[in-house]
Amino acid sequence: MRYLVTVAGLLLVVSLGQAQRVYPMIMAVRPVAVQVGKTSTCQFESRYNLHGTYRVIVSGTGVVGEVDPPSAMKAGAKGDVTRLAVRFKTAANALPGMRDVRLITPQGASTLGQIVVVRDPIIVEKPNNNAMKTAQSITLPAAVCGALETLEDVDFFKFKVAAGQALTFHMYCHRLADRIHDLQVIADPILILRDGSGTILASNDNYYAADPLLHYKFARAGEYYLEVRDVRFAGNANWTYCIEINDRPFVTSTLPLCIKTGATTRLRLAGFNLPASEAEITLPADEPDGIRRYVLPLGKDQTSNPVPLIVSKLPEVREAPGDNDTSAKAQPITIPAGISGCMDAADDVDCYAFSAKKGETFTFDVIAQRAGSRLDSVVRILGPKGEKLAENDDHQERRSGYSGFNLTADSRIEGWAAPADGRYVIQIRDVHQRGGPEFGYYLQVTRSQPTFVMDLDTDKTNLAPGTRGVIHVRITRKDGFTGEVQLGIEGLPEGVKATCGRILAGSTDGCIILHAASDSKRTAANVRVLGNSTQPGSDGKAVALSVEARPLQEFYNPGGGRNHFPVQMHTVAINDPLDLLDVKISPTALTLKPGESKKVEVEVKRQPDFKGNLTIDLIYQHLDFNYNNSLPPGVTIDARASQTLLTGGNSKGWIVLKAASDAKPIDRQQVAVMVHASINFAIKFTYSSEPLLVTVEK
Amino acid sequence: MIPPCRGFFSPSHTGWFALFALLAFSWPLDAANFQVSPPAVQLDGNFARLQLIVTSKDDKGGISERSADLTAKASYRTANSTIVTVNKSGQLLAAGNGNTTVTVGVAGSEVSIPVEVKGLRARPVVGFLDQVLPILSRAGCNAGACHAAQYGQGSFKLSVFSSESGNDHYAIVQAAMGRRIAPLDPAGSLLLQKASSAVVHGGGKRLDGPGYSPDRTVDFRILEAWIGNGAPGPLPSATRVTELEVWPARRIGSVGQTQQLRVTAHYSDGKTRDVTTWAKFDSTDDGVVRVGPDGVVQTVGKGLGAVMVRFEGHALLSRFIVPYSESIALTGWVDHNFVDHLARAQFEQLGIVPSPLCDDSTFLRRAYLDAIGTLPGVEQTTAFLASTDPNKRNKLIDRLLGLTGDPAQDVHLNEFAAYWSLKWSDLVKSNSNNLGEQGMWAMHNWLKDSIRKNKPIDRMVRELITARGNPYDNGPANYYVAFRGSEAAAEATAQVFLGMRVMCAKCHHHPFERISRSDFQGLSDFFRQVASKPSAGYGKLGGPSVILIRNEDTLQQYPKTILGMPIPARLKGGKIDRRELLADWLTAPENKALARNIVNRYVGYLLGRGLIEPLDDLRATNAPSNPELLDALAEDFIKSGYDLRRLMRTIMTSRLYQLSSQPTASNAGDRTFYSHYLVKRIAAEPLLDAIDTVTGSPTRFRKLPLGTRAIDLPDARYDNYLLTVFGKPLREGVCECERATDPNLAQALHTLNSETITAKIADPRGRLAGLLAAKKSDAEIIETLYLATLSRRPTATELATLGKLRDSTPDRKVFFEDLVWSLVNSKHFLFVR
Repeated sequence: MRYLVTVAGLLLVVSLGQAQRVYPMIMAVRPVAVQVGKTSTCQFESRYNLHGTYRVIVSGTGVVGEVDPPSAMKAGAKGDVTRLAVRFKTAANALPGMRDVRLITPQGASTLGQIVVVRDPIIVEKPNNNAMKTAQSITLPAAVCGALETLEDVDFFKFKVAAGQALTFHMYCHRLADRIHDLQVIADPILILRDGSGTILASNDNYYAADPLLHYKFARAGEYYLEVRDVRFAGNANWTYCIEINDRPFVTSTLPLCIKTGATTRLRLAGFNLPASEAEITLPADEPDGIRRYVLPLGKDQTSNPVPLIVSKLPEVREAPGDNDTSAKAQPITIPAGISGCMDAADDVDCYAFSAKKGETFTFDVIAQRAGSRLDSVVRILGPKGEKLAENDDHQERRSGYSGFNLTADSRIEGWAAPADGRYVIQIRDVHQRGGPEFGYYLQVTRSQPTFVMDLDTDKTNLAPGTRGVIHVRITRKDGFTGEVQLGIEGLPEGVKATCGRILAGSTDGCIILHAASDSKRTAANVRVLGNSTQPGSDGKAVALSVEARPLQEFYNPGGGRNHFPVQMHTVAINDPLDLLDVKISPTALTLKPGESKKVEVEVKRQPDFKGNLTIDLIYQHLDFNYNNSLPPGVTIDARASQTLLTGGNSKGWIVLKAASDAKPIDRQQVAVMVHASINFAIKFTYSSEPLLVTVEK
Repeated sequence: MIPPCRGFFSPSHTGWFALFALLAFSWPLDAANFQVSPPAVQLDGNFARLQLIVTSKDDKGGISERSADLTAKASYRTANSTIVTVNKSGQLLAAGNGNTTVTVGVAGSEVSIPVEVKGLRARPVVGFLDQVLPILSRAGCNAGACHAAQYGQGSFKLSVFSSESGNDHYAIVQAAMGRRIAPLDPAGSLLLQKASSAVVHGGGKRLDGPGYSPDRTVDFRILEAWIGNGAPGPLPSATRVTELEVWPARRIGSVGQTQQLRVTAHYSDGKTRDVTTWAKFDSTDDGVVRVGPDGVVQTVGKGLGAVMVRFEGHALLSRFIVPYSESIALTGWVDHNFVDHLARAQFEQLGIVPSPLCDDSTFLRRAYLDAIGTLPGVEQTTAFLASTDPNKRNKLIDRLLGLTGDPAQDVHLNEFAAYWSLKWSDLVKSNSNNLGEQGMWAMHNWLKDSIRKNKPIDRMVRELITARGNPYDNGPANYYVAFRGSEAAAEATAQVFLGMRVMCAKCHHHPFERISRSDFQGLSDFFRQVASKPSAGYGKLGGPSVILIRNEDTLQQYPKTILGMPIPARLKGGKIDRRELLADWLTAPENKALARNIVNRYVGYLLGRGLIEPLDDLRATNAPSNPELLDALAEDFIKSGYDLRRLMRTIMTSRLYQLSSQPTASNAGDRTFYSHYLVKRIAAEPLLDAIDTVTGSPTRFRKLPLGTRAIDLPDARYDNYLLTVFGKPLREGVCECERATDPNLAQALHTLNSETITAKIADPRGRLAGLLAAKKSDAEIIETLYLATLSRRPTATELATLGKLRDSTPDRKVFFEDLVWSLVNSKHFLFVR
């Protein structure tokens, strides 16, 4: 017995030791849905260890989760826990749709997983449903949850309908798989309806990007079959899906797309099984601006699915009835304005006229696909003779190759300056000349105000007591903003302190270095990162500018490329001790003159059993792509003179910084000396030193 | 489009010609039993020529399509050779201004015709476009094998078929420091010295020079005169050929007859000119007619033949019908529909007696394989053969085509959609190499859905032509992924939807059609707005380029013609997307081109041969075997709203479709007029499915679940030897010819020796194993296997033979495996008959 205890203790030590080089990564949730008003348990599957998970964070409100029960989490072979049951309590009024879920483990905060909040009972796919003759019987309405597990997997479900019944099949699959951190191949599902003889009645491949939406009215009562598969017959164990099947109203889009606060807005509806063509919604006066999903009351105790709508306090302009198709017939507006319009029919073009004085700058932002419209907008500014002065088709906020940012085809023209006093026309159209009630738009026309947007790379910072981590911040300057941005952070967990850097004028990158106290306890919290600056106002006085950063979750493309998509939370977690206990640098402040080079000594304190290779860097990069470089302009790393690879148990290295001969003076710019421990080819765990303050003198 | 050939005396001729046309019907020739055409001649200008044609009169003094040509037998005599000369072929040549007569004699009778010659000048005026280039074309100088080769010959390069007259003029007159012509000594010009072989010429002698009779040196003298005039170049004001006419346009005769052709060119200034001497003649079927360089046609075999006549970018046909028999009786022939009516008319004209109707078993198998690419099941076969319903064939066709109106009966829609998607996927190059995996699937699913829903073909064509959007979302948008660039799209559109091969016009004038480079560019222009941009929203899946159009600010207008074809007056331009205009034109009921193309293809698919072959080579010089039938089917197809299933029903319910494939003594030589059903090898995918069905052993395909049929395969490339050897196309082109249809030795060797097929036959979960395990009797198993493979029961003879074989084969399993192997390798299994 004593021998067994000893062995068990050894296993635990070994498992904990190995658990330090982990990156808790949620790969799948089964079933992937939870029902409103119910408590349900989902199995989380992960890559790397979820052992000891002690907290579940769910985005939005109305859904809370906890490990189910904690005692059920048993260490498997080598102490790894890669399957974990989580019990979710979902409020009756929880907003249906996708939610992000993060698990907090002693090894760190996990990547984000997804669950789908649904209204109908959840039916879980049973084995052996790969053919019509072995189709799984389901009773509707339901949310069917399963997975396209393997190559050539096809799932069949059979159900009964009454004559004349019209059902909507709304599938989440691509949208779920697309947000898995390290999934190299992504699902492209298709839904196919068949009658009893197998004859195909209808199908849909793509509606919400690669996810299908299918609506079908059954002329005859009887038993029918739903076939679910990847369109290519591809498969992956992590391609979970949820198909909402019901005959309730389903709104695909509204007109207008924008609703006002403190008043009732009447909306025209497009969609399926709608009891009425219109609905009304009233928002409180203090509802903040933004794009959010709302459930619309449809009468007779019916409500819609959550519909994306724009809340805006801009002065409202509705597209006027009649012809505004040409520059000459453009509808006059005054700026600022929030224009609600629609491409009523194919080949429709909408024009709005405004007056401007030479040098005045404006921003034109079309919100359409972001709010559920099918419009692929093109916006143009036309001059007095109808000549094209500016044009944008698809606006990309960051031209960085981040495909994750290319979320919609909405268009935007920023900082357009009127070349002369006169009348100008905004022209908007669908790039494919389509039209109809699902082609609405909301066009925000404002005077350009210098500002910026700010992104965090990545979505979480894992710390151990006594160690430091770094939050990389990058801004995208807009409408002529050139100023310096001071970074700030709110909501840090207890025991964590932050040293906030700045983004220099004309630069894009800065960093915040977090330090967990050596006596800090396991904990986690979502933080807000703010960028503060000032900007000269119209009266010449400084106007404060404060922008909240948007966290980005990293993911890895096939081949190892690194990419991002926006998420709703950045979590700072304090974990158990990690591979490194500390990163020391000397000096902590460095002053360079133009043309001068200086060395920064770096020493890491390893866990006794950790002999892994480490790399030292001052620039956050992967495969030659730069994700953050907080160094002052003109200061670079002299790679030949630096020792950045620490092999085996080596703990000392150095980086040589060099100031260019034309480097401009900068005072005490904060940078992080990073030490990366590779987890695999693409993923690395990053530690930070205490802040390094780099000064460039004349 | 060139209108059907008219008689020589066309109302469009200019004044004097019209006068002569009138005279043709009133001229008191004489009592001779032949007629000379034209009855009066006017030759205008130096080197003017005219071909007389002498035709035998019938008993009533008239001439018809069956009248014999006496041109070669007649004698010719000019009354004044200083005004006109005539050679022994009846060809006149202007010699001097004035009036005279030419006398034509046949078997002792003579007819004199008046001849007026005018416009001859001492210093002839020779046009580069209308006289010089035709001579070079006729002599073959600007053929691809000679000076129109990529680098020309001997540094002298001409454009193909004179498609670039300006460059040609430069090459002759200015290139090589002008050494090719000598204006001060025109006859000594290198151009003429070489062409007449006075000096060494790699291409041999192309023209007769000095020393030959004036009749033979006309071309030499024309070129000499042109050089002597300073070799003027093409003038923008020069007249151009607007239309070509051949006489006779159609002849009915017997083997061994000859016919002199006469070719008349109509010019843009309204004048006409006999260009028989400069036209090029080619037989479209050497087994029926042969033609000499002077336009003398000889019938050498029975059937339908034609002579293609080409001159200056224009081409047309003179058709020759040589009946198999002078009179026939179509006993028992009953028209099922208009297809049969028009087929019968042709059988009667050609003297062919068609085969009788095929038996029910043959029809059942044929209809299943042709309509849905699938063998009938044993139960379906048994039920059909047992049915005594006189209308059972039509009912079966409706069930196969999904036209019963009853979902419970329309149970073959999946197979129907799969099989015909296969055909259309071939045509639009739907393969993952071109389109990417998702794009290929999107196109495949769109095709299947369209065919399953019986989307009218004009709508499908419009959706493809005007496709835009994300190719993952919108299948047709992959058309512009498969055919990137305006020229590729133009080429594909012409071939797939018009059945016209226009790719040669990218570089030079079409050799057999009046399609110029500018026509091709005009078609390409419809696609020049097509552009692309990155897609949004697909995240890690990686979106494809979105297809869109640019320059959408300008309302687009029609050109004057499209590929030389007119734009119906009711079609107006003024659309944003120029492709919309093309789609409007393509699908306009007035424009028969789309309907003719589709009808011809489906006739080919169902009857084994198109009314025009190759199926995708429709042009004025490739005549249909039954023009009336093609027109009627096209008209009916348009009236039906471009309904493919109804087109198939029309063809399949016809008696013509249901004829036996067994030829009769009367029609054994015919493979053109559908007098018997043309046996077809089963295409690769249906054949593999048939083997799988018969053996009960499905084939596994890459990235598709077990049980997926070969006709359901969405992609082009699969690692399956049977599909490869039986000609599944790789979809790298739009030509129907990419799908090999001919049987070959490799196919036979494969079905005979394939271990895969042997394993399927012996599959322990297969059909045979099931029958044996079910303890079925020998007779039951034999009958089942016959029904499954050949859709019929074994004959008494076969049963007797099998009984003996069974008795001599101790192992029952081995016997039946051998039987299945024999059946699968039989012609009756491998072919649709």
